[in-house]
Amino acid sequence: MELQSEPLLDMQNINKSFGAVHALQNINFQVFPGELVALVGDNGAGKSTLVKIISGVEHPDSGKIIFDGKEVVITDPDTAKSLGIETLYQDLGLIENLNVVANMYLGREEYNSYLFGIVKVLKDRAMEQNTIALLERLKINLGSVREKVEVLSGGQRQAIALSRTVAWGKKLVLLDEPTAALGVRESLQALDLIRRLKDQGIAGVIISHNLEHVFSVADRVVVLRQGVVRGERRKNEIEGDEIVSMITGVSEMKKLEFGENSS
Amino acid sequence: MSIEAPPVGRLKALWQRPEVRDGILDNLIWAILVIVLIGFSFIPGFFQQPVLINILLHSTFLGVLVIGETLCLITGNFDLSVESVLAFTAMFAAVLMGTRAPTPGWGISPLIAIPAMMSIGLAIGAFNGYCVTKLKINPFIVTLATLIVFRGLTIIFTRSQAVIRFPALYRMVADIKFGPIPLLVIVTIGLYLIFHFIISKTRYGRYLYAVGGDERVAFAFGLKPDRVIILAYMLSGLMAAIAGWFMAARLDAALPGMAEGMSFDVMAAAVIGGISLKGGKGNLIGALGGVLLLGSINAALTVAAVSPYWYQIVRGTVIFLAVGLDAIKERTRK
Repeated sequence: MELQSEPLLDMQNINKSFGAVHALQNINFQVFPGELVALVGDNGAGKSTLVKIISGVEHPDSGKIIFDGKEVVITDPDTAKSLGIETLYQDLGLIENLNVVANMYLGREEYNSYLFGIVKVLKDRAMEQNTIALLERLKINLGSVREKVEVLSGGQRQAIALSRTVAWGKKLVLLDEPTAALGVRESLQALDLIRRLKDQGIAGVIISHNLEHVFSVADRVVVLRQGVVRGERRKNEIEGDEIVSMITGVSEMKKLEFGENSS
Repeated sequence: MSIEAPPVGRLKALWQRPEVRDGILDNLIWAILVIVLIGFSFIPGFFQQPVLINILLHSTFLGVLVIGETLCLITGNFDLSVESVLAFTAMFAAVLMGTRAPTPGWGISPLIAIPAMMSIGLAIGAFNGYCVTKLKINPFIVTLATLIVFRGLTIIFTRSQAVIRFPALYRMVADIKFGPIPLLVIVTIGLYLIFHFIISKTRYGRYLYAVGGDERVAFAFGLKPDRVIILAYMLSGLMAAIAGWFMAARLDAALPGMAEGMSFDVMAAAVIGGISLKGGKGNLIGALGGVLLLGSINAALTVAAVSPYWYQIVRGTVIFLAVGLDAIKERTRK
């Protein structure tokens, strides 16, 4: 990654509060084109909130977002979608009562227009065949794509949600816990899928509690703790357990104990 | 020795195909309807053309309302106001056309009165939908309020008097028959076919189920759930106005108390037909089965000369059974 290039996503002084909780405090966060950034931190550090601000589900109280060189206001997920941003949410997975194909294409249905565009008739067959082809390419095994998502296993659901995100992402893909609920083999497949994004030149932000997974795919690691960016490291600069101590704040506590100023 | 799979195994394989299994479970109501009709055939005088035509005719008013209710229910909301919208729009058109009424009317042509009542239905629906989505008021409260207010307005409109005798053009829909089949029945079937197509084949239909399944996920996927829900309420208001037209044309009168209590039959028919109150489940063809089942039960009780006091108890029991069946179905699916 060349440092000189303009960031694809540049978030400046982002603040967000939920009632009395200051979830994000003056966050500055960049993602460069084609770069895969990992966002790590303990529960409640503000990672998911930051991702939801980028994807338009939440709105910042203050701060500026520059995407692709232009200042943008991401009012809702539809706006994010038209910017080329696609998101896998930790808590907003798939729609259970719809089948695999419907979930894969939700919000992006292929249809024929009739009556001056009022009636939009779905091209169910085409969408089904494309879904089967995509899942085959990604080596995801399901019984039938007409199966409603509610009868699938947690691993299968996660695999579908991930392939949906990866398949539709054009410029930036946000992945909140993409390997949660996955077994060992499935996790490796998922990481493979994420690495493939890079081959297509698509940038990504990945949130995970699994540091091993993070280190295996990310170019850069950004640590959040209690709503503040505590530090960042490029992949080749990571030394020993320092990321873990940044996440937990152990290094700062030591400094306090020895009477030094914490940064 | 045989290389053919045993029949039980083949049946099981068939059952495991989602389109077969969901198809059977979603249309269970039709099997029940057939069984019930076979049972009713033992009631002397039930299986006669006039009785059966009467079931269909009475099912048209309920049936048209159920279409709109089903749209709202699939999104996970509901519309209690349909019966009052029916009465209000019917009374409104009646006063516009102003025939031999106690209240002097305006003598306006049905060609204007009918579109006007449809517009009012759409507008009341839009108001319901706006309150539910943008003001985030519970749909029960919103539509209970419109249920009460528009019944009151209907009564005030003519100081609680009926308006009778409409122009032939207005009544035509209820007067024309094809052989023994009234045009109303055919139009209702047409509406069911159109809305079944919308629900099962179009993008809007897909969005109804998506919003009913999980509104937050639908929003996160870039949908606009508010628009989907408001349109469902508007269509429900439109269906109520159409049912108002049909009923007034059939009675050749608009009555202040018309269709009173019907909203609950509408909800009952939809639930019996497999539409879940939680949203995202069921289809219109099932709901039609629910309408016909309720209609058949009413007719059977009438033909068998059962005391009307028993009607409510029987209908209530049927709703209980329907909900119980729904729970069993869900367990079978998983």
